Amino acid sequence: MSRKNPKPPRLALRLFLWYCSDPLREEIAGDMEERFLDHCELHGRAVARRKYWLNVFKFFRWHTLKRRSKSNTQTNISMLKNYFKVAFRSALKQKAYSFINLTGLAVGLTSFILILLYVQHQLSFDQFHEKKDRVFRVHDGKDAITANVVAPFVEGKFEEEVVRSTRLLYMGSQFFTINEETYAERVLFSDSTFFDMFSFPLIAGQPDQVLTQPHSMVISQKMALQWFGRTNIVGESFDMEGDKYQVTGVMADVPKNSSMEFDFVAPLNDVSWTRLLKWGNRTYFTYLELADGVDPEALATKIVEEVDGTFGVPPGSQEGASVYLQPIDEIYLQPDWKLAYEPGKTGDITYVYIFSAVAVLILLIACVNYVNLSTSRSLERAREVGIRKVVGAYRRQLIIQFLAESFLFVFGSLIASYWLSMMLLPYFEQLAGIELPKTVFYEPSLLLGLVGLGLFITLLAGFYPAMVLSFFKPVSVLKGSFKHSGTGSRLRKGLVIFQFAISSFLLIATLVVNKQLNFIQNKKLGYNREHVLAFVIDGDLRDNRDAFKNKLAAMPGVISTTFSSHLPVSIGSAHSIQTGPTDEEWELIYFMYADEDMMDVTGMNLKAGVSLKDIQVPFDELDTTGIKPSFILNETAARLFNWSAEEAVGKVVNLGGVESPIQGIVEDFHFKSLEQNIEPFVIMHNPRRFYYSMVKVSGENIAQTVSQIEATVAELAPALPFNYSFLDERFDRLYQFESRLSDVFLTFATIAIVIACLGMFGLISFMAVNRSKEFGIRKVLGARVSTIVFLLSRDFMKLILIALLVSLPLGYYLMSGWLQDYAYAATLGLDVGVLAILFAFTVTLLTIGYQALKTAYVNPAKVLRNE
Amino acid sequence: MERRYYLGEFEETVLLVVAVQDGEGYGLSITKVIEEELGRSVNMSSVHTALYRLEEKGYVKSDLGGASDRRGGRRKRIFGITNAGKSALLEAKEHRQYLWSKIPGYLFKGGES
Repeated sequence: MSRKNPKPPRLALRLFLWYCSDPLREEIAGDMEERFLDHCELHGRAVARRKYWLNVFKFFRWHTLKRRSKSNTQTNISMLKNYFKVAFRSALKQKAYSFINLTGLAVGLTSFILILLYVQHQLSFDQFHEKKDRVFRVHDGKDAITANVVAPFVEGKFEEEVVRSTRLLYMGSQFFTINEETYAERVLFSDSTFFDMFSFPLIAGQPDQVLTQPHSMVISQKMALQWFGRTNIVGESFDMEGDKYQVTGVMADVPKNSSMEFDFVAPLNDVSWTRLLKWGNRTYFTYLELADGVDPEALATKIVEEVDGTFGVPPGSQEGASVYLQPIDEIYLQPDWKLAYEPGKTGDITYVYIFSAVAVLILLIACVNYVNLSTSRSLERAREVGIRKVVGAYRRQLIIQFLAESFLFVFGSLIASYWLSMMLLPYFEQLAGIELPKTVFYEPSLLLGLVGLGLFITLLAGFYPAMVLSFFKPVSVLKGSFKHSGTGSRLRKGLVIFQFAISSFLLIATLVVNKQLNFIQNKKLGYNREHVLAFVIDGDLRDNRDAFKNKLAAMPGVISTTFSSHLPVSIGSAHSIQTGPTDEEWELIYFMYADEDMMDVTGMNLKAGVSLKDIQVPFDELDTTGIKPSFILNETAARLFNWSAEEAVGKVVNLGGVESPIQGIVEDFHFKSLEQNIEPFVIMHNPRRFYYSMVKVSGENIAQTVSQIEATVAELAPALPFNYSFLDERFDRLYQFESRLSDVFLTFATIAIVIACLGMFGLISFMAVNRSKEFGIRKVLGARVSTIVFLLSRDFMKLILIALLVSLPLGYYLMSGWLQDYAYAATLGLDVGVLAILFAFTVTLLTIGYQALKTAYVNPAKVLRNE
Repeated sequence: MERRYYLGEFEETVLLVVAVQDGEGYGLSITKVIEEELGRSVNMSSVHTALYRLEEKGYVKSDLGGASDRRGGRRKRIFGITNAGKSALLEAKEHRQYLWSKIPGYLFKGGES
């Protein structure tokens, strides 16, 4: 034919052929094409193509659609039974394969379920507050704490927008005396609006009444039971810090997924030094409840304007206030801010993402395993497929059959992993450092989700094997000339690479996290935390300081004793220090009250000036007239003024509203997590605010020394419970998160590697069987065992190599990003990569070694006998 | 009145065209007649649907034949009218004529037939 007709759009035609039922295809496609040519002549190509497409869609009608014939549907139920039966039999026939398959899936699913629970738990934090959409915390973009004047200031200026405000102040180690027993507990001091704003239900007492009277207290149910043995204790009273307190309410225990943690709430006004409203002393958490429909961002802008107006700062200038309103349910995960001075539990949205990604990756590895093993098994099933096809099975039926088989496997392992995750929950809770209610396993949403997940995985993992298996041509299968297709094995290789890339990435991540952890623990901190005993003190011991010190100094095991307001590992209070000529220029400065021996005990170094040993003038916030208290700043604080250590000594600074010359400069030391830079710091003297004692002991006979100290404490402060800890332990607790992360990574990297190895083991067994004749002939012709082992493992080594080529750069890139979050980070050296490579090859060799050796040692006569 | 034959308005049109092109008509040609000679815009797919339905009712019969290059080598389904189809058309025509004859003369003065 000479004239070439234009062709209709191919994709449209294919779409049509796909949906249209067989008997109608030819005529309709013909009509459409003829019509297309007509249109081409009338309107041109473009219009014709468009109309062709339109026609394809218009022909999508009931009578044109493919339908299963009615005769099939009746047999489907009985066929389904047969599918399950055959699946079960073939699974039993191939026990090793089935076991590997089931284990891989079950382990993957268990990890997935557990991580799912973890993520759910993290996301549930603070969601229980009924007013979570309207309650916001005020912060300045850097610190979570604010001055005590902020709440009344904002509430006064914005009466319409702000419904109510609450200030919180956490105070550690308040001493309670109940029935002659003394307890040190953390108390939350708050404005009386507390229970109106937050959803902490009261078992007894009215939310708006319980905190209105001075010296009233709300106790958690747990503590009420512990101290009084019952919960109806409203009206009971006890002693706290020398004051008589009356119980006005009992609240239900604070939920596990609350970022605020407390067992006692008392009125803020009870703390005398909080009554004076100041912009300077920033120790308080300010919460605002906004009226309906108030835009928090707009309000924050208005607050900034008001504050600047009050201080006469021109709008938009650098010195202006910064105010942000943070939704209460974002405090825990901190998606937008990383604030200093967080009082309660904090999580990290990044880790939620990381864990979710790990869960999905492990699940993918498990699915890949399934795909790999099922397709590699296809040779055994090929004959069955051939016979079924000859007898008249449609391809669709075969696909359903193999999907049913996957269904059986997936749901078998799903049930197993549901049970497994219930069993493993306690270990996982420990690993991840969370507590989950046991009822999570019976939540209908979880069960429903798991069934959905099972169906999804059945499709994901079962689809490809079903397509491959049902595709076999009966003629070639039954004639015996059937071979594996090249594309199939290429895909399998790709999947192995994928699996190993993921596992080795997790491995690299684990190594890097570990390295950073080691780095932190061995980092020089600027102070010595070895053999330093720390414990909380009470008023008695505070008054008997000198006696205590003298008694301890007489003990052979004690080197030095000191008293302080904080421990160097848990410093969380700050004053403001004036940095410019006017009092609008100031910075926050962390502080610690200590006595003359503190620097000896902790091994801090004085860079310049004199220490508290020589001069110690107390700093008193309540009476600031006419005193020149001792200030010992750290180097970072001196740098605020561009002073060197020597220059700084003698310069007068205004700190917390008190002017005094700098007495000394102490070398910088890390008092926060290494994630953060060292910040300005000041050591001062204020015996009235000493809450801790630290004792430096020698490394010998520690147990004996400790019991001697305990006896001395009992003698001087009989009411004080002696709960000591070592400073290095407390320091390690700062890095619980990192060490947990390292554990979690290690666990899941191991799981990923185990699953990948299971898959590799299955594959190598399959390959060995497939090539057994080849190896038999090679052996007959004189090949050595080593040659055969080499031949079998070579292919796998290649795959591992490619996987490493992908995962190493990726791992380095991503993990160096993670390390950037740390102000002080380990270097990402070559050793991580080398270790990962060594490990990957060793694991591969171990996995395939057994099978390779078995194949190599087999008697060639055995494999060559039957042909 | 018992309805022996039921034809929708569109079906009747299609059936009439099948009769017009007896033994020659297929989906596209019938569509063209309706479009071009009756001046009525119509979807090809609707014509096909109507044809298949008529076949189910037994008013038309069909056979494959007549492939051409213009059709990408595909055959057409050629439709012819059956006796039942003829009866249905006749009945529809009779009903119509009966009703026309009952219309009072003054309505259509000057007379359409």
